[in-house]
Amino acid sequence: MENVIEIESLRKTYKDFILKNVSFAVPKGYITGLIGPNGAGKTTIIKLIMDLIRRDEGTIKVFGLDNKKHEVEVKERIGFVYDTPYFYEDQDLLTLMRSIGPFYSRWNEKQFLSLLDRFGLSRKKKFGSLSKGMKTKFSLALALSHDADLIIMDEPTTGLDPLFRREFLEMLSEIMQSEEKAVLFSTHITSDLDKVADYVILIEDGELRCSLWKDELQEKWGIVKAREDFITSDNKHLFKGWRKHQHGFEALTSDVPTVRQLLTSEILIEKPTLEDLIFFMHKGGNNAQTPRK
Amino acid sequence: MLRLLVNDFRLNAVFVFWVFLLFNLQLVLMAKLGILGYEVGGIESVGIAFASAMVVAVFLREEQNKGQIVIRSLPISHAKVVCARYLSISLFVIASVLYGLFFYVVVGSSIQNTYIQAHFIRFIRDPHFEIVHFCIAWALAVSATVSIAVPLIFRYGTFWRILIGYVVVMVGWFRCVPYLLRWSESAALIFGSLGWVLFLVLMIAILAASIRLSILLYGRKEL
Repeated sequence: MENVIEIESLRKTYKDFILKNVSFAVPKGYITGLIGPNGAGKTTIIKLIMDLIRRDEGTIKVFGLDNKKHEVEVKERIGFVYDTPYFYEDQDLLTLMRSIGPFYSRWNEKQFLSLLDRFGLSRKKKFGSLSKGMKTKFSLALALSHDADLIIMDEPTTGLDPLFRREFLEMLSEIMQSEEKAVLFSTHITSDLDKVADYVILIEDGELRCSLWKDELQEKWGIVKAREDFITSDNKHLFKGWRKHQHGFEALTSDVPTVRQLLTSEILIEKPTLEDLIFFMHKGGNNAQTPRK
Repeated sequence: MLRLLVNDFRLNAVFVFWVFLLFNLQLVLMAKLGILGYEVGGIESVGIAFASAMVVAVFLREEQNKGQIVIRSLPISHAKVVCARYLSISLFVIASVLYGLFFYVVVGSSIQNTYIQAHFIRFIRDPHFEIVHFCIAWALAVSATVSIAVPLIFRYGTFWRILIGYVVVMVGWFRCVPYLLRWSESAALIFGSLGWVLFLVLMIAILAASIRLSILLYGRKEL
């Protein structure tokens, strides 16, 4: 399988945060979700991919090219949506388009203008007068108007209303009809990714916790619900993380068939969501004691 | 690179116009009050003060609007971003110096400030006034300041740092400029007719080194 992004031993140190030797790949032809709690390191990874900050160690290859050495070729093929869209606040959308669009060789003004109409954005409106959701729509219109092969989005759905969120997710699915494209989508709102993601990468405390296909999560992984005495030192290793409560325990396992064999009676196994994955893998698993609300 | 240059003017046009207007008002007021003298209000001083205000306004607006995050995510090399900005600065400086001349001819004469007029007449008519050396000295002083300040802005520039840095540099600059000019003029005179060639070469070398340094430092700036 071809990858659009390949990251090896990526390291970045801040005063209060370290991204620790993260390695993962983003496959071509799929929507990849970069998930994790706030402050996990998702934005840092995206900034490193976009070369907005300097890496301390490691390599980042985008379309097989080093993202620093081949910066122009790489960015030509990336559509980028920021977590907080930044543009000149006192400029209207048309002026901003004219200031940004022509830098891309495959820029399609017609497409951009039709997206603005589709999103209900007035061309003459000043960027500063837009709400956060509308600003994100504008960023999205820019990212989708130069035939990018890879769309990178940092928390794009934050601030979007539920109607547009649904439309946005449908648009992502439309983009993915071409198997030549790929999407990397960071978020902590996992319900969006539950609908569209094919592959997920979980980051926490600057470390890669796991990366897996969502189908695999649905088929092989499970939330086990049983009485507390079912969990023993012998079968503890089967669980990625668990929480105890007054009626028993809930645990995440990546090996449903084995768990079924060992714990034959009075257990309930449910398909996990991405939120379950984040919750049970919290702090490396086995510590997810905080009751869920 | 030209697109970046156009953007510097297009995205900042209204703001720069307001800076321009306020600056003029301030200068006219200073002239009316008789405090626009040779040291701080000569033809070249007005131009340089204008140029610095325009350039800093562009940098400040870019920081305020996080413009570099947008630029860094576009398919443009660091070298082009840096060179385009140096080109913008050069255009601002040239336009501002020309405006400084205009200011003295039009505004200076219209407000009947005898000190300004006397200086202007001396500048134009005095056959012993070393105008070439004088211009070279100014150009060198401006190049040196730009060459030091711009790489620092590219690497460490944040809104407040640029603003505070600007005030410090401008105060220091106008305090030092008479000495700087005297030394530069003396040096130019010592070198004689070769002086302007040497200074031109020196000016280009300083700017070239500054551009290289800016490209290097720009890549290290974290956004």
